[in-house]
Amino acid sequence: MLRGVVGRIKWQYYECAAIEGYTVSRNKRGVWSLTATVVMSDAFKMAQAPLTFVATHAKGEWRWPILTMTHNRDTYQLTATLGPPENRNR
Amino acid sequence: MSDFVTPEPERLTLHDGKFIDIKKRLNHGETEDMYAKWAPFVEAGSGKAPLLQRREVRTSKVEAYLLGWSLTNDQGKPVAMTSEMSEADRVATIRGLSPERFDEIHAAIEAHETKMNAERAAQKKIPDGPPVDAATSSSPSPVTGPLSGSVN
Repeated sequence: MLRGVVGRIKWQYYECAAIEGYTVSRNKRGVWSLTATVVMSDAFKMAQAPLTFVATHAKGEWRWPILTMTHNRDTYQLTATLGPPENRNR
Repeated sequence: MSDFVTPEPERLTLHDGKFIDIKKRLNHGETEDMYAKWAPFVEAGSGKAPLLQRREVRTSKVEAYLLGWSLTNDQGKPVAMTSEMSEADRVATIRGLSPERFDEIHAAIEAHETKMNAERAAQKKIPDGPPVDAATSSSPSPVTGPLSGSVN
């Protein structure tokens, strides 16, 4: 399980959403999932594909492709299933 | 042909092998933002050409298109240019370029824009499907069910 604060959701080079507080986990079947709090989002861009969840770390960033996603704009909560991560080092 | 702009990056090579990554095409919002920097206020209905901010015209076009580059400083270290940087930092970095390098980047983007405009103009002349005979073209399907309803 990976917990962090600052993340973002991207559609190609556009930022679709800013995230403050997220948890990424992988279940026994190897399926990755994300729960996060969205503090700012662009509804049009969030409806596009493919979207990527990006979590920054000290040496670069982790990126996961978003496979399915639900975003409750009233509670700011986002849940998503993710594909396998790719690590990008600086 | 989509009515929306799909974000696609494109790499342009500069004279010395370094490169810039740019947006293949700006969308409506990005274009309007760029024009607003050129001329924030336009007198409605005056018919006069807007007065442009000399300082903004070229810089804001480069800033609007630019996604990244392989440019370096005098120690050969990469200088950051990313879409995650704030607009102020991006503009400050662009303003720090040598005039010759800026001119080259601006010219490359202008040439790219001209090429894209020509491609789109050519696409508009090509019909999407086979020609339709107006006398035999089908009408839109009738809508079944109520167009509007009331529970009162």
